[in-house]
Amino acid sequence: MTNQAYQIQQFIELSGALTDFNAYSLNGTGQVQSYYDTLTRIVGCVMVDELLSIFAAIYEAATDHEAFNEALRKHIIGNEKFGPVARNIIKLWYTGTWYQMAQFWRETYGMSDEDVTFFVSSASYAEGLLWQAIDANPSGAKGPGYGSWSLPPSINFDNCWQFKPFNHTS
Amino acid sequence: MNDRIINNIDDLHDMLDAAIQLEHATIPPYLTALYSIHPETNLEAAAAIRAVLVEEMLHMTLSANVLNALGKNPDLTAVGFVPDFPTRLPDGETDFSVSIDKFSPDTLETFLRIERPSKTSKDTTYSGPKGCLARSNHHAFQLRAVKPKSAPEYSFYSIGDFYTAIKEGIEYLEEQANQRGETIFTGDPSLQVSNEYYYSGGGQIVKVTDKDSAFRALSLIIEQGEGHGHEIFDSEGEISHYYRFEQLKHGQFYRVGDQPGKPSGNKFEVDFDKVYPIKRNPKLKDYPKGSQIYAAACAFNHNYQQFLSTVNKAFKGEQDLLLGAVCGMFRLKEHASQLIRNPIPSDSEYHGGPTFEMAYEQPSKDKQAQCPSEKMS
Amino acid sequence: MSEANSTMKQVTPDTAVQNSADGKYDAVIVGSGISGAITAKELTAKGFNVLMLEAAPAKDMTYKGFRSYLSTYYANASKDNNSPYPDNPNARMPRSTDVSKLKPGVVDAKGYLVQNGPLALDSTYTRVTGGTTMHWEAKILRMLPDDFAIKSTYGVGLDWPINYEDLMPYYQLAEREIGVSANVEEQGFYGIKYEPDYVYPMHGLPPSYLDKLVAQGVDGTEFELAGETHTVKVRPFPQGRNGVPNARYNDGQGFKPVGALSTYQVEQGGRCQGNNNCVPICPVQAKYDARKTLTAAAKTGRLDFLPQAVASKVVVNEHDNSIKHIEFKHYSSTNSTEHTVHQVQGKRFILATNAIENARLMLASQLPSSSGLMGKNLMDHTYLLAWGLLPQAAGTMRGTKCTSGIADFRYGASRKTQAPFGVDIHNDGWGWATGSPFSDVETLVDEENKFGRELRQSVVDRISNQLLFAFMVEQPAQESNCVTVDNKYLDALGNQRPIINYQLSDYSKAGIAYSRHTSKVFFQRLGAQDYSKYSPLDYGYFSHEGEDYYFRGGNHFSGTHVMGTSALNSVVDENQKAWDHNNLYLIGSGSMPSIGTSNTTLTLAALCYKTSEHIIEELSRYSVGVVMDSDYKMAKGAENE
Repeated sequence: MTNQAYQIQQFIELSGALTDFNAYSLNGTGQVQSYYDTLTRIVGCVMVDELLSIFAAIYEAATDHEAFNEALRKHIIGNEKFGPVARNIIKLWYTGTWYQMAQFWRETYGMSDEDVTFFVSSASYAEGLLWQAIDANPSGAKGPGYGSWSLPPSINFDNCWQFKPFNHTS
Repeated sequence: MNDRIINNIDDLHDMLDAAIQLEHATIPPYLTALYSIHPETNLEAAAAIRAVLVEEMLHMTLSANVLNALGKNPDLTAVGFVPDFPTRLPDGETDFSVSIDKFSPDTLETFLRIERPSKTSKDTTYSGPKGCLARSNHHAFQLRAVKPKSAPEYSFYSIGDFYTAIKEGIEYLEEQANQRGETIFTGDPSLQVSNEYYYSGGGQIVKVTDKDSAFRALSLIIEQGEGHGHEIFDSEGEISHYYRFEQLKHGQFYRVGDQPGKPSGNKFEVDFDKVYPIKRNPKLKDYPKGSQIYAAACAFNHNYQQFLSTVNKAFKGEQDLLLGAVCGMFRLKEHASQLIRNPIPSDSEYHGGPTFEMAYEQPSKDKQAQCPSEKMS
Repeated sequence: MSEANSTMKQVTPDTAVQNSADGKYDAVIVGSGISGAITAKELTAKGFNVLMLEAAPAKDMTYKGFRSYLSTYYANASKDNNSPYPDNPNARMPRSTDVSKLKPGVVDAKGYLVQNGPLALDSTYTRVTGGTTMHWEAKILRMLPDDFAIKSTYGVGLDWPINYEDLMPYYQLAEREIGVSANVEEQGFYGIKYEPDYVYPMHGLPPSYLDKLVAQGVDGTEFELAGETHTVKVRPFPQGRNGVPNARYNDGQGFKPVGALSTYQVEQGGRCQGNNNCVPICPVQAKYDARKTLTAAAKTGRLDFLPQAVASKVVVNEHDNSIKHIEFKHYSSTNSTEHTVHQVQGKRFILATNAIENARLMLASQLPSSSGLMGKNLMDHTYLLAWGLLPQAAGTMRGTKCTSGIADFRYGASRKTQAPFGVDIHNDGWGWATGSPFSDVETLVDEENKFGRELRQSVVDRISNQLLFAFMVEQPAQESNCVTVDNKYLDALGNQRPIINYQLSDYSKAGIAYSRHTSKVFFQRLGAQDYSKYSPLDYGYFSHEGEDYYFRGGNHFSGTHVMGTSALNSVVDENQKAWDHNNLYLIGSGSMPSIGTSNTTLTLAALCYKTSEHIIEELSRYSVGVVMDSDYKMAKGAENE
């Protein structure tokens, strides 16, 4: 596996843990590469490498989902450097939008000219996970068909992300 | 040898059943190619495939109307209704195979061959029944439309000949019935799918109640496919499937008055790189057992089979179900897209795709174990 | 329809000028929205030659152009009701995103509409080919018979010179043209009546799951108001979008829905698919827009369509005050203000821009009407929003924008003292009020620090459970609400921009306050948490009897050239003909003396049919060579095949 392929795989796992959508659903949006590229372009490869290494370490050390979430909260979500990045990854996946980083973060960790609020692409808008979460179509795309709105939504967590304890023997 | 292919009503029923199977058989390849295209790219190509796809659904419905008018219900749930892909179609003395595959120059060639059935010329004589010939690879054809029931050792020269035989059969049997003071159009008119339920593009549905309306329905199927006398546009200004696809080779639209091969309309781009690399004719066994993609492919097949079963009920009188079936189709489309965007784990080259493998036998315990989840993700 | 868009004959300014000098045009129509399109279709079908000026480019007449609206919309960070439509400095349009809180006495000119206050109005219209029907929601209600006589019955606003019965046949025509989906048996209430055996062209759209939940909770609620009991019932709205055709329509001949506009070999525009995006653009063209009518007009070969032509002046003959010609500015690119000025004429002149632009153009031409009423009596529906969270997932964010509502406060004796209102149940949740669903995701992630499963569950609970009522409150005519012009405010081509002077009366405020009261009762009955907040910082903020509110504009501009019984009390007569100019018609919602609690499009479309009939009659009187009545009927029949 090339380094980038490995990084992308890690990016998918991190995204899964943050969004609660499994790798199949994330790949199913067709947005993995473009989100990864957007992220590295704006916050830089070094930052992304660091974030993914910390994520890998947390994953490896955790014994169950609860412990994993606890570590994720402390070391990524609640970290002043990585927290804003992680929250942006979540929003990227849920809405297809890159949100401009907060001013304090930009001043401390570097300002990219491209760090403005934008839809990654016209396709990314339609692939926001928020719509899947509520079993609705994105407003203006993927119309579900005449009369479909008359039935109750089918909301379930079948494609949720699952923590699998790291197998230290393999 | 008897020149006629259809000699009794059972033959005719069988051939129309086969027509429904045939019209449906193009849907998996068109659908897969369509959703292999990256979103927001190849807009013209996607629009062309979508338009043809919608018309194939219309053709299936029209064939079902004809069969219903003749007093027999279609059966979309019959064993083997969905063929194994690749499946072969005749094209004159040669033949070609139709695959579930990504949109590519090869796929486009196949689509062109599907939509331009050659036909025997009147003076050609082959040893078999009218419009048929004997082939060395006869066993390779699965679709029932290829081989007439009354002469199963032969195959049609082309799909055009198949439809000609149906029309001749109707003509012959109706005349015989009329002589007895009867008609072969004895079906329940309330089973006819009407434009209340079906009008979304692809042309007008025809309610079939007699020979004239049956011929109108069949002519629409034939003309939309090959075009009227190989004209680019029909009398209503609609472009035939063949030329609709052919435009994609030129990257340019035809305008009324253009000569074949020389479109003069607006130009557009076709980018075969903006396509997901689907594994050709994917099968469940290509996906690692226990993987998310395997489960999703199983679920897709299960849902597709349910979709066919719903359409089947609609053709048997529960027309209201067609509205729901269309919603089901929209959902299937999203699920197909998801499969197509997923790389096959442990395969560095290819992406997944719907396999359209139907579970026709009662699923054994083994099979259930293979498909743990029937829910779609 | 798969043929190329070759039937839409576009002409150059030079051709139009030459043709008009040769006396070719029976009518010059300004504007290609629904009013202009209907009139053009009627006149051309009868054999008359029409020149249509459109301020915008005509690129959306192709599939590619239409697709580009969609791509713009998807990628636009703002999703306001004009977001798919590109900026065009030569024919700017109002955008709600331009509106901010006004400072007393300070004019806000940053948007296209110049806001002179005291309240800022965020209503918009769309200056593209097809007009505001490109972004309209296509809820399509008839007015109540009472609405036509509110002055004489309730002592407020203005009366119409005609009544519901007069409009009935034209309502039918408008419902056919737009292709309305509704069930008669669900729509005949509070005086609305239909011809015997009438059915709408298509069956009603199914109500949303959300509608059903709300109906379970609020149906049967009773309110005592002005001595009358109002009993609530959730009812479906008629919709201007394709559904299931009714085989009983037109004496059993049925109805053939009009699909997507004739484009390059694309089959679309069938039944509504529930894209939940009627506003600002229906991606599959299942929703009616005026381009469908325009294309039909163009097919006659008698419509000359001139895009990128902004009407700049209406010029009168001094001897009889009739219109001599219309001056327009033609630009060749939206990237440059370079333009040429031309004049065109015809036997009749028809201004069909919209209530704001019609008045703006007349005032800019220094034709304020001898009644002095040009631009006065500006009306709009004022909306109050109330939003809450239901105790269960309601499947919000699915379906068309709005499938059902409540009509039980649209009528009654209370109209003497407070404005009546209709109620919409919004299938798109809190979007209008808060920017949902995106704002919800932002809150959950950035403020509530949620991630993983907890986040996903919260997204469901916070979005799928949303309920928003939009209360559409009538605004009666009031002369102080008006459009004016001033040379201080010009657009890129040097045309005067519309200045909006707007205030809410106590009558309106009382209606809004009462609507808020009903929302509280509804939330109580539904067990919903009320999230409504009306901040003093909001641009629509006002307080009434100690309570805070804000209002939103309804995009239903009207009244700026009211019709009436004489040149003293109105700008136009019942046929929308200007009292002052015998060859000029001002058509559209600007002619409406009151708007009741119905979205204005169906009524203004009906008026256009009445006006077309009148114009055809007038033109026929001295025209030779127009097609015979039988040909006309054939052409009309052909549409229905």
